[in-house]
Amino acid sequence: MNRIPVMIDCDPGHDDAIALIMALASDKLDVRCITTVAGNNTLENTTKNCLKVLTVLGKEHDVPVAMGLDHPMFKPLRISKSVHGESGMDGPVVPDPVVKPVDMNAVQLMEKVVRESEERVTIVPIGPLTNVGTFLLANPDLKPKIERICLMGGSSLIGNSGSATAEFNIFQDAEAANVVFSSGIPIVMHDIESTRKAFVEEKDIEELRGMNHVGKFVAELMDFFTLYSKQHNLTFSIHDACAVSWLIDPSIFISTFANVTVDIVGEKTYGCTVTDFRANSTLPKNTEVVLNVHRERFVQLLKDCVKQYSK
Amino acid sequence: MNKRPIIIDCDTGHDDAIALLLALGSPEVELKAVTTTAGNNVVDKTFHNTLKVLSHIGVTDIPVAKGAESFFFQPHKIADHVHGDSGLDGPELAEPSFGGVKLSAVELIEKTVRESAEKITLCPMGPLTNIATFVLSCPDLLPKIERISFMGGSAVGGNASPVAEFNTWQDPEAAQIVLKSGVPITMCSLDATFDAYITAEEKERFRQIGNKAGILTAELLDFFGKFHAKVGNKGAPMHDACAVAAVINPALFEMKRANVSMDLNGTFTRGCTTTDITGVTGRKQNCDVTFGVDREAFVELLYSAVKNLQ
Amino acid sequence: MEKRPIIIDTDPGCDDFFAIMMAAAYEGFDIRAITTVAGNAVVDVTTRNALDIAKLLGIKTRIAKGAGSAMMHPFDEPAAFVHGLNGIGQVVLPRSEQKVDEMKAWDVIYDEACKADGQLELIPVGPLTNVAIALLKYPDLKDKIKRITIMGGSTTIGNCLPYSEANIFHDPYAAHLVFTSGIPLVMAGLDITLTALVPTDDIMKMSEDIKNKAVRDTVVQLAKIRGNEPFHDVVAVASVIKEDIAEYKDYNVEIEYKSPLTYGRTIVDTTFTTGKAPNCRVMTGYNVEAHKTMFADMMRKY
Repeated sequence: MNRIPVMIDCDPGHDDAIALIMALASDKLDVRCITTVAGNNTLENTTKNCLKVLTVLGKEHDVPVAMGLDHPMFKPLRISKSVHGESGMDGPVVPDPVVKPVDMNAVQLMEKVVRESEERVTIVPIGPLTNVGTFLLANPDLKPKIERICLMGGSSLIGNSGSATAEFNIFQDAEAANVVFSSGIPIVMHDIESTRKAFVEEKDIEELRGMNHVGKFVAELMDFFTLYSKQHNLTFSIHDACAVSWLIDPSIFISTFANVTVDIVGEKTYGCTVTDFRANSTLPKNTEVVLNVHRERFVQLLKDCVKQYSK
Repeated sequence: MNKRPIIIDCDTGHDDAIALLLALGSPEVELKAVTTTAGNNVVDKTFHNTLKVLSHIGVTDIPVAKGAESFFFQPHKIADHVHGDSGLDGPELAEPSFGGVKLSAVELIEKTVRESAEKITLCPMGPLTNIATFVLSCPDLLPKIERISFMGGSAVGGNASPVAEFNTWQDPEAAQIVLKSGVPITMCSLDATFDAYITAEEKERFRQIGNKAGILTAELLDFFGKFHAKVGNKGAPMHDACAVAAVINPALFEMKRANVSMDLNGTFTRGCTTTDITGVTGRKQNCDVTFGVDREAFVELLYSAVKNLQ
Repeated sequence: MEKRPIIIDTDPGCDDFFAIMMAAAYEGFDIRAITTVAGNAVVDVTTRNALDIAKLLGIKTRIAKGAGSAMMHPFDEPAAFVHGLNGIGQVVLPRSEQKVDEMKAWDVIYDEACKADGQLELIPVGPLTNVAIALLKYPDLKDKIKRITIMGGSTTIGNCLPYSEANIFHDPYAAHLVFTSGIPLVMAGLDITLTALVPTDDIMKMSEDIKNKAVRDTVVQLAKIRGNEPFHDVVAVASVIKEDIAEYKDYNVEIEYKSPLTYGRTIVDTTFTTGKAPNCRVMTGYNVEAHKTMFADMMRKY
């Protein structure tokens, strides 16, 4: 079977790291490039963290990494130290990476990958949509070569992180998200409510810890990441891994098609992905909205991916 | 000659006080009632200041009511940098010799309009909160409003923000309700009222009248002029007095018909009175907007009014 | 038993008819007034309907006319005529001779609030314009109302927009003033009222118990016109009569009135993200069987 060519745009981030680990383990996906964006932390830190992850996996020379934009389109960056720590990926002790990002920016690298690809490419954004929005604005001619955009972000009914109606990634750069959702490209939206349901338990973390060096790394990531969850009585959800998992095996997820429009002017609803679930809605259903996750199958997929690194 | 009955809605305030003197000293208008609103300062102070000014010149038979404490959709911000702590710093005025009526501002406007045989002209010179509440709650009385001549707004520029005038900026939703009321409106906008100033020499002429009103006017200007001198204005602009002057003698002003609509949602432009004098929006013209004033004639009008008083 | 003073603020409306009927059938209520607002039809029509409904159901109370349009759109005609041109699907009711109260809706609300000595409950089942104008005109009103139980808003999906329910959508500015008033609020949102379906067949059967022929004919006609759709407004009244018919949670609720995408959304902070104190008791569940029983009992009162 042909591997699906993907470009991952991320802001590692603990759950971003796990998403990368799964994507690079799967024989279903062909990761053509990784781009970094400011989000969970500064661009400098998310890039460093991304390279660290690749180094741990021993794949630092396999995939080109490019740095993207260091702040949202129309406002300053607000980072989330409370969730991801000072470095943006606190927890595991990993030496500073030796490899460097490529000598072009994220948008240029995306352009190059898409232009050079014979097949259509899938974009997997798991941070704010600043890079992807800019890529689409700068390259309208390349839109037909994008298979779909499978993203982690959005809040169809309930928000989080700073707003009762918006999810963190979209809230960070709603204007960029608006560009993405109005692009006409098929979108899979891993809504925050659905990704909350993609959680692991303590025993899963321990199983991973004993598996191999990557499993140990994942467990150490979770050791820190779950501190916040425990404090706030939340599940140990690995939000960003959902977007990658869907591409590996969409049958793990339950979804519906709906119109989604991003609010960029609301006083209380800025960054809300306004999702039209009304039965009589006549708006074009531009988005596949993920509503639920078969949790145990999701966790099994994670374990299977980590196991790949034992070889 | 028939006097035109008017109601002043104010947030006294130095220029409000002078507007009251203009109304009381002018034979062309009859001041039927005064209502007060939060604006330059909190409504307790603007109400108290109004009573003090009227008491000082011996006018104690006009009903005065206290109105809105806060605005429709945003908190109140006072302008003590312009009008001082009391909202009327400067002249030493005795405590008022009469109290206000038991009615609220809206109830007093409602009663005055209902009981009047003639149509009434409203002269608001603070945020439009009271007037908007009247418009919303008494739609059947709107045909009895001759005109609303308000001080507020600007076609170009602002004083509360780069594009918004203080009164419309304080309660933009209220302003929108008034602008859409269908009542004929004169918008005494900053475009003209900044030019309705009184110079230092003219101020002394008021003092030399020697009556209470004249000395009060000069003392108000002593304080008010300091702020305006500091920010580089040519003299002390009598913004609020324009709302009354435009009723007494509209010919003092250069007016243009325009549609005026409030900007309610702008990040940088909220509270701006979007003034369409070219008709580009196609919206119905709802205002006569002041674009210029015959300053010397305006000062003369004020001078003779003040001279008529105690 | 001391009767509870209430005012129904309404824009009749098919569901409003049944809401008024349920309130009138309950002996525990002293209906101090019915106030009308534009919504299902222009205000002159909803007022006419309120007068005629009151006559049909034998309700003796003052009926006062309120706002003809939303606060920020004075003197614009309302756009929605979901219930047919006369608001009640062209059903013709026997004409009442009663005159509309001399006072406006907001003045009546204040007047009755003062008389009821802090005991008055409002049940607005249309846009909240009248209540908002009352709050603006009489700042002390907020301390004189015991509780406001609203049919409107939604925790999840809407009808006018993806999240926006019609009553709030028609005047979100007014809703904002009501939700920030500090008055105890109960919200029967669309997500809950959608569950409160009494099938048309059941209503037909229940209507056989109505002895008053004119009432029975009207009930049958309105139920047929409405089809198998819930009578949303009734839920608000039913919950005031029988509080334990619903489940509730206290949440902070804010109204969006800036964005065209979410204009009139009631943002129910179910995840306590905003950190703001609860200002509303939000209905989170509803006992539909009990609702049906109340419906049937109501029919037997006529």
